[in-house]
Amino acid sequence: MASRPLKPRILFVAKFGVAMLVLYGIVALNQVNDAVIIPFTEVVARGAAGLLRGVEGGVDTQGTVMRSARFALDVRNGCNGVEATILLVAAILAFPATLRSRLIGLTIASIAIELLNVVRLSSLFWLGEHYRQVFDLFHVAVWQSLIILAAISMFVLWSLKFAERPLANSR
Amino acid sequence: MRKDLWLTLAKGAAGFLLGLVFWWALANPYARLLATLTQPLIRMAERPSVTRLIANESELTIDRDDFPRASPRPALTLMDLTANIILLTTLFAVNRRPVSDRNIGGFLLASLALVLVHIAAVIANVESIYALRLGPWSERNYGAVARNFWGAGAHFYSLIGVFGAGFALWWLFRPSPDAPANEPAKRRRG
Repeated sequence: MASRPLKPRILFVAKFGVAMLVLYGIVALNQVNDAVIIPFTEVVARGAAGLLRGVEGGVDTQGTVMRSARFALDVRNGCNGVEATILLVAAILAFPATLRSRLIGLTIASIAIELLNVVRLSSLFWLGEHYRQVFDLFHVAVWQSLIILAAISMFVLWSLKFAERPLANSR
Repeated sequence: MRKDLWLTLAKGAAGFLLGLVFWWALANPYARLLATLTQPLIRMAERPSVTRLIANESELTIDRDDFPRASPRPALTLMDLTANIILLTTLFAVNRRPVSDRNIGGFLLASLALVLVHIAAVIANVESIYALRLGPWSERNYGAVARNFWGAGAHFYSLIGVFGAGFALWWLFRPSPDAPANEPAKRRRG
């Protein structure tokens, strides 16, 4: 298919798949979900509501639920940005690089993804309030894909900037 | 550098829109295709073979010959399971030469592999409904290990596997960035 040997690609995908399974196993544990994921999701929901309050008033949060007089949105797993972060972490772990460059990539990209996710939740809530007919389309297809694309773009940029030498060796 | 960035963004936006159109416009025929391909696989693993998958617009209604006639039939929303085609199309669109033979060939192979991923996802979701959502019937027919396996499998796919699969297939089938645009044979003739 391509001039680059297939073996490093298969190896990367195998490591990526294993890393995703392990990370999923960790976040799916009830203890981790209750102690880390749900409190984190509440922070994300509060951040999104705070951002929205800069545009229009009347948005409040209760736990993971954002609500106003006209609309309510329960931020669940799959909407809190953790899924995009898992994909990113799995890709960075699977890619040959130094520990230092991995830590830099993980830190910067995870923060960027979560900030983007706050924008995503705010815009979804706003769409739910004002343009309910397109909410599902944006929820399932548009924003979900954009968040993952952002995570992949950050991974590709990181792999070019910080891990160029290991990449060259892996070819 | 800036020109490259804008070009990449423009290609990505075009690929994203193309993927969105594919996903949206082909949802109903694709649901019928998935029902046709998946039903025999589910039936192969069950005794007696009673599962019927009925495509209903972009949903799959799950029916069984042994369901009570009056009980409601569970359904599976396919749009969530197949949204990774948008990701795959966008990623192939931003490759260096998006309309080259190699890129189109890679995209077609990756799309074919994605159909297999979707079939596996439908199987996991149907089995997860059987194992977890049918009350005493589920408990009678599925043990603890099977219930956890199918439940976790379906949840894994819907949470991260759906997009992880799109990314992995792009990584596997994308042309090498330094590969020539056309087949070597064509270049030799030119």
